Amino acid sequence: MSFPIDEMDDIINDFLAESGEALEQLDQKFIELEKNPGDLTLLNDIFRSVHTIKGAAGFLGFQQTVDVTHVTEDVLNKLRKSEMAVNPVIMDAILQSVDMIKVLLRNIKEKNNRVEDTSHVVAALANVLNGSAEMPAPQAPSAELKPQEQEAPRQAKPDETAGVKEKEQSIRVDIDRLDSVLNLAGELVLSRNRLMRLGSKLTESNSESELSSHLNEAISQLDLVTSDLQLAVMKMRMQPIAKVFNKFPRMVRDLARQTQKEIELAISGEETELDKTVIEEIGDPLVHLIRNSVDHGMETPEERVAKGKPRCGTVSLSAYQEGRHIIVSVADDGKGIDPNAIKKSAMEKGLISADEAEKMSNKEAFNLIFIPGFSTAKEVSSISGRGVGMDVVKTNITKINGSISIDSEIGKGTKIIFSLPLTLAIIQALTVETGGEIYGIPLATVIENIRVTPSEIKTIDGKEVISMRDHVYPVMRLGQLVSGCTNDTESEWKYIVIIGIGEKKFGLLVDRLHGQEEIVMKSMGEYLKGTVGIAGACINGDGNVILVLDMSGLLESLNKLCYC
Amino acid sequence: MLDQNMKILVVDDFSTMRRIIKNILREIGYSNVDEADDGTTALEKLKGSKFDFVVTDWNMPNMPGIELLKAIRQDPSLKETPVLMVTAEAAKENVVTAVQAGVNNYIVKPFTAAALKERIDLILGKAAVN
Repeated sequence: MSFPIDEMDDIINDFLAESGEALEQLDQKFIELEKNPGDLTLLNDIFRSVHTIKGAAGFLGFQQTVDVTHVTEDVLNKLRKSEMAVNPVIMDAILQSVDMIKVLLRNIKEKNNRVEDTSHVVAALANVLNGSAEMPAPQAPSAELKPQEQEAPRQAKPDETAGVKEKEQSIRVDIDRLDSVLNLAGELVLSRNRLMRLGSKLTESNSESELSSHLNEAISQLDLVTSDLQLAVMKMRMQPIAKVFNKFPRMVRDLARQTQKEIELAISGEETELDKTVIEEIGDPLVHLIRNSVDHGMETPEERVAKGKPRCGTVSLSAYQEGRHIIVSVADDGKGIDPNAIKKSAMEKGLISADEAEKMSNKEAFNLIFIPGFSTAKEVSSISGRGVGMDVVKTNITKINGSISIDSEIGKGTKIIFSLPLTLAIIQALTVETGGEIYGIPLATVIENIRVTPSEIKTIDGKEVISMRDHVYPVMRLGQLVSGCTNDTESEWKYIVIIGIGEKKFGLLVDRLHGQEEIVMKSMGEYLKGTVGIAGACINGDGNVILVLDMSGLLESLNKLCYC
Repeated sequence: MLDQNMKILVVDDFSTMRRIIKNILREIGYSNVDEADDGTTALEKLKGSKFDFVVTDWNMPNMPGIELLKAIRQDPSLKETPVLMVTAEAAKENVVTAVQAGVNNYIVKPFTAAALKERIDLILGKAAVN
């Protein structure tokens, strides 16, 4: 085609987005199809999606995509004409080809001009086509499709069209445009904060003035509108978590077949909405957890029957909103985790002492699996358990200001719960002062603040600690960390902010506490990117730039200080 | 003599395809183009305002192209509207069905701008005779 390059790029992007959505829905539909092999409406739907992708790919000259979709379509066509019946072997071949199509589309997106070897996929489909992929013993009674059922969907169609068709009230907007609106809303929040600060100063100095009361009225109106705008913009970036959840039925099906287990995936709350960035970040951790559940958590059907459990295990994936957080959980009704096995393994690896193990509660024991390098699996399988994993899951969740916890009972199952922030753009921060500079600490990581005299800080093994209510916390001096200067301003009282990242807690020594503020974080730009301990910067109500601390980064540097 | 201002309705459930066809149409000089995402919406649009030409996909949800074609031919006010069917494969039975239902011509995906122009010219020449 001879469209201008820009237009062509645009069309290709459209094609990728639209095909991507169609493919995502396909996975879902295939799982349904495996349950209802005779559902012709579903088959027609699937056929149409593949057919459409083939058509558009043809126009755009993506020959490999055309080739693969073409054979897939042939197989689907036979299925929908009932010349063949769905069986797991055919399903595997089709699913494989769908995966290949995804790879091909990704190549197009990355413009890497890579040529994939599609021969095995095409060969598997060709085998299906010429009938050499017959199942030894068909499991589903799908072959007994009655002739009249074939007619059904055609007749059903006009009925559907007679009903009022709901028009889709949505448009596709480039994410960059959305982000720039979000950015502007953020700037507005800053201006509002500044105006509010100035307004209250004016009132303090000139409380009688009619002008100042008018100004305050106007400001509170602005405050209201800004908050609403902020919320509205945030909502624009929200996507249903179904976007992530949808790929799991397919994954669980494949894993169950690989491990020869029988597993049902129950999904609830897929309509729950989260910020796009959060959605993108939780995909991998969830994949990992579900793999773990299927591979390690779940027993084989025989074991389950022997234990008096239903033959088919259930993995449940759920999401719901709780205040300013979204709770996402992965639960299974499998073996459960044995806290003693974990303690033992941790002791063998030298992660904890026998004494520590003795004192440890079950909950604390479960949390050991988040320590880097920890894995209870005796054998490493191809699905999960390479010893890297749970710690990465935890890091990823912490990175987006979320937290993670485990609950498990032997014989009953395991439940892993994420608590995630609704949005990443606007955060609640505690502002503190040290050495005359103001810093922001994400409020989600703050457990409590205490006021201490310098003499209360003790030194054990050359490390500073603070003891509070029978707990001993390591103490970091913020001034020392950020500027390297040790001579903090001398004053009678100091403040320690107790920070909790997952199960780890430590105290951060600062000169003064300022207060809580809603801040819009900006990245530090290329120049200062990657500065340890600094997550970004923001402008506070006074118009000053303040640095926002990255607590997990600080914690890492603390660990290095302590153990290296 | 071709009327480059004629109003064309492009019907396809895949928005990328509509966009591609619109671009090709623009390339050959037709820029007065509207679109619909399936037969049902197409029919609403056709009844709502006057269109001079319809380019429709075959395989669509709710109301496939062939049903749309039949509906157009059955409607007294629409039945003269030329319809060009876009199909992915030139399966014989499909073509026969379409011809029987009164399609003016069909074109197989993927097609070039020249091929589309040729079909449109052909239809417009013929449609005048019919």
